[in-house]
Amino acid sequence: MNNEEKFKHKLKDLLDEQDFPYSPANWDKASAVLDKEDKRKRRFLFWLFTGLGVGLSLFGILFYMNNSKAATANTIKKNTDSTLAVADKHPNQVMPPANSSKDEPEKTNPDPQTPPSKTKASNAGVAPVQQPMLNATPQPITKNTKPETVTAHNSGLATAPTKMQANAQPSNTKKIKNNPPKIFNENNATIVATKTNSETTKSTPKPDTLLQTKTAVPASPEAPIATGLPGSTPSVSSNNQASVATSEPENSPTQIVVEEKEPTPSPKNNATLISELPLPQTIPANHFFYLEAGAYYNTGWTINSDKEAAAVNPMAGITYFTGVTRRVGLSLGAYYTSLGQLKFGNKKAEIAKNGFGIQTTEGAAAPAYPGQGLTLVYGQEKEVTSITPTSLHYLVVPAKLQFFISEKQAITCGYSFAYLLDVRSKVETYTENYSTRIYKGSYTTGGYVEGFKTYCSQISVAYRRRLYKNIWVNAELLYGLSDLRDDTFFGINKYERASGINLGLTYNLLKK
Amino acid sequence: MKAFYYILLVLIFAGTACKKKEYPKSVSAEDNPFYMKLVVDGQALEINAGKNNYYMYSSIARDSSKIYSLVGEFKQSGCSTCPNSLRIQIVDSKTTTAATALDINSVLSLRDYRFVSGPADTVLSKVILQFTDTNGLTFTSNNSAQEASSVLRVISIEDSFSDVYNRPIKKVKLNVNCKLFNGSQFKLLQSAEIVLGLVY
Repeated sequence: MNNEEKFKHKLKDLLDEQDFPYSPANWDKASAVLDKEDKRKRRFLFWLFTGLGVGLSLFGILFYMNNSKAATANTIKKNTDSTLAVADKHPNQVMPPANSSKDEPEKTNPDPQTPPSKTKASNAGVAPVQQPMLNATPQPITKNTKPETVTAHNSGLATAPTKMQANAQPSNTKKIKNNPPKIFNENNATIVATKTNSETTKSTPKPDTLLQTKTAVPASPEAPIATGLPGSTPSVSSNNQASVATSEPENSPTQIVVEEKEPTPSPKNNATLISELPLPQTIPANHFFYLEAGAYYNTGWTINSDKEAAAVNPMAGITYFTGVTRRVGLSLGAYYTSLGQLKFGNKKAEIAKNGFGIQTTEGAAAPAYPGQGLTLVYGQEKEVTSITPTSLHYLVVPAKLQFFISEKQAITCGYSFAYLLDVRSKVETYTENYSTRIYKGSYTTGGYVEGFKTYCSQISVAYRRRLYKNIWVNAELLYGLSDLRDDTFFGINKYERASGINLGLTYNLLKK
Repeated sequence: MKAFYYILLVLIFAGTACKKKEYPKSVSAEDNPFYMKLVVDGQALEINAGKNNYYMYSSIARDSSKIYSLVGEFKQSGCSTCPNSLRIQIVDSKTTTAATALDINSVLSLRDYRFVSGPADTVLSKVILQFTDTNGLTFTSNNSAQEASSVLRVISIEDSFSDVYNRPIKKVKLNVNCKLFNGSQFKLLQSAEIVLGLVY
């Protein structure tokens, strides 16, 4: 029997001796924590969908932005859901906080007389163990190469009513960092902190010293995990390890210490981490803006067999995106676009005055009598201002649900609310009387918005595909839900819908 | 985050910066001194020179016999067979030589012009009314089917002047009751009040 096996047996014996009385108070605490998490999740969903409904207004954006931190917290909470589930099934088990890939050599307290306050456990603010672990059943040490982490739950769950069985649980908690060390036993029987270490522990525990071993995370969910918990299986791991500190029963109670370390880049471990990601993150990020620019082709409509508003128009704007799940996100944006090639809807204003004029008969020779070939005309002379709308300009606020098929593809559906910014019109002025029309000039101006609907809306479906890094291409079909013109005002009985195709490029404003 | 707010503010300012304009209002001329109020086959018809693209035209004509006549007409501009138009021609009662100028007092005076045969100054041919209806059919008073009551009465004559034409104008008010024929059918013109300017 080598040293390692001796250590196993020693630890097993210690763990088998450990027994914890059932504490209903601790169960209540655990239940309260879980209920609180559930309520927070529901509250998040409530605001999420409320924001979508009200999100057609800018207030929605601002509100959501202000809650971005809360959303991040919820993301972490979601990631810990699996951990909580483990805790629910195995209340004996303490889930150490987040992962760490930092290489950390195994540390052994060289001095068995060193007080606990000077060990890592004490540095982490944990108290010394008051009770030896009795009746502990030694388990085979598992050597782990997986970068899985186990998250500690700060709820005093360790005061388990029965022997603690630490079962291996796969975890997705890659994002949890810097959780404080957790006190395992509120009775100070066992103190647990987390520690992750990428270096394989090779040292042999010494019976007379405070031992530190590493927590092993199994490669498969069925494999046992050693978390340094009473009843769990202490193991040696190369990646994610918990240090178990023990001492001689006659000198000090058993101390199990799991310490968290800051991750240290390691090519070997990084490769392992990437390969071990449970699923790729399909949305680019949880919260970001993207710029969008492109062209919008409006299919137009027909009035008196003449096509109107069938034109390609520019569009540009900015959109805020937030991820709801790994594949689904919501976006709310604001962009400018226009509708050109308007032909109808001419309005004329005439300033008339009456007076005399002369009409001559061309080709007449010298008059044979006075007044021959001349006609006196009395009537109206008009100064006419003719205004013809040529283009409509809108600020569009689209709210979209985006579903990411993969990291490079997404489909969206949404509702767009448009506010009429301006109407550009061609203005012609001329003087007109009984026989002639004299043009004075023409120019283009804005502001003649009367007769056009101030607000209109569209629904849309779109396909998005990533072209290069943060650049995506967007193809969108839009269908208008509103009549753009007041038929009574213009005398045109037609339902004009702004429907068409939008092609554009988007650039994700992601922090590097 | 700040950039988003800035962009939002810019968009809001851009949206509100577009000053709304109102369409200019049309202004109609209120003075309409020349008009005709007709009742044709019981249907009233009022036409004003200076409204609805109607104009009053006035000219001097002289035929091959060197007889002058004054012509006044209400019609729209830019038409050939103008619907709802009326033409009045008052012919001088005496023959002149080529060198003689038009004598307005010989042509126009406060009197009745009869459409039936009678004294020389009330012969049918001295007053000719020509009316074109809405269908473009032209009816004239110059025929022998007129009745004894058919008359054109000159009610008033006022002197006026046109700076544009630089010639004197007679503003004449008339009443007319007669029949108008087109060869196969006729129209009855009743209680017609006409004010027109005749240049001379």
